[in-house]
Amino acid sequence: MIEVHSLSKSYRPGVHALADVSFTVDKGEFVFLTGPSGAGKSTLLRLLLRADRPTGGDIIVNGRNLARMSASQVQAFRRTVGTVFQDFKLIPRKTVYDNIALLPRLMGEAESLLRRRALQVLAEVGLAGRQDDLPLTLSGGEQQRVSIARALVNEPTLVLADEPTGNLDPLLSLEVMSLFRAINARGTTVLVATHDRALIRHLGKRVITLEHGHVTETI
Amino acid sequence: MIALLRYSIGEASLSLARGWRSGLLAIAIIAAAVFIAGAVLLVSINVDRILERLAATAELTIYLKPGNGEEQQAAVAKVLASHPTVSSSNFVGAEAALARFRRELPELAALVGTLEENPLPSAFDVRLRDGATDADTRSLVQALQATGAVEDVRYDRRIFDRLSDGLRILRQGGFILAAVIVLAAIVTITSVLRLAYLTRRDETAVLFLLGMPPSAIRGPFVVEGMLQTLAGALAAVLLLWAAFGAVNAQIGPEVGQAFGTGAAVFLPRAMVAILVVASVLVGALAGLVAAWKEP
Repeated sequence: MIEVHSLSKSYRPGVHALADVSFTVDKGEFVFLTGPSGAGKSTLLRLLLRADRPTGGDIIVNGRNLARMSASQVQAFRRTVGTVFQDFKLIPRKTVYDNIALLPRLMGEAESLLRRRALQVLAEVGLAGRQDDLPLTLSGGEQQRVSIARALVNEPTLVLADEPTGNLDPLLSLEVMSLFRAINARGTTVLVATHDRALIRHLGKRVITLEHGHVTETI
Repeated sequence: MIALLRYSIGEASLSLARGWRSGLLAIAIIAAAVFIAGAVLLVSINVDRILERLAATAELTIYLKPGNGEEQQAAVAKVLASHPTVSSSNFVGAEAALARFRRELPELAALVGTLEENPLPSAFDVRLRDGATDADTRSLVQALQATGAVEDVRYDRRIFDRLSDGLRILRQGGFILAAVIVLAAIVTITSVLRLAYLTRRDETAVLFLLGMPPSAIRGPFVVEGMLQTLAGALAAVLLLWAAFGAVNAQIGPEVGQAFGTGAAVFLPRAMVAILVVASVLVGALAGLVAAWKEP
């Protein structure tokens, strides 16, 4: 599913955010990416979304080299990936439903089908009936669940999450991680960046550890 | 495509409602630019009609000396027939000149009636060929005066030429002014849209990262630019129409009668449509420029 070969990223000469990083993630696998703050987790996720270009090396997702994609192919690729951010990144002036449905609607999805699927993913994340609420009326945990619902509405084969529990308390973090486990259980590949060791232990999945831009451990 | 259009119109309307003050400024500036361009065209069209009318009338009038015989008249006619500067000529006898005077200036007809003799001389109305220069005209006048039968020459072409020059200067000045204001309007609209774009930068950055196509990112700003310029252009056309109506009511009939052109005319529909469509295209371009850089 994901092949990363000798990946490096420098923002300034001599300062490596990532250096010679290589790993693979199989289809349907659940992998944690961990390490202390500044280890390069977010940089790696940005490269996996082609939000940045690597200084060296290759990233191949579903057999396609991200470096060789045109701008429109990158946007099409991003739509096949479910992305979850630490700070949710919901549009505050739009309802929960519009946050979830905006992109597929723009891509020409029929509204009736889209509505059915959006309400279904909202129910899956435990927010049935909240589709007309505005994000700021929801708790942090609920907002993150909306963000997960938004990531799932396109039925992605890959979900990338950058510190999805970073703004949540331990109980809510467990709830959110349970959602990711459920998503993975139906065959979706999940890559979660987190520095929360307790959560990683709790879920017991494969772990790639980054330190100072290098992969130091793969369990 | 329809979803994208609907989304763009919805977002643009929301943005206009949120930033209505800056939007109003942009609309006012584009309205000023279109108004000036339209006013220049309007004046130009109506002055053109006057010039056409003037061009159709005699450009050169050759007054013959009183008491000339048929021989002298024939000599003048011969010069006119052979000179390359002359397009056509028409002899107006003293009686015909008096009848024309009475017809065209009825308020003075009574005055002429009190005189014992017809004071008007026989004359030739002469139209010059297109492109005739002052030198050509001088050569013609010299040839006519050499016949000894000519009392005076009235040269209407000078008035026509001066009006043409005045109209050309008016057009050039007006269009330069309109161009400057159009430029200011483009800069203002682009700035207003850029501000709206930056205000929503966080939002567009997220949508871009989630895979929203650039057309959907830029669409609302393009539509917002188009809506602003459409409103500005329509307001300008309405103002121009009202101003035309007011000015025409004041001086239109006198001008029309003086030059024989009839009532003044407003801009043709096609020209109004071109002004509006060009403005809307400018708005679309401004929106595109404002949101060109990817978030």
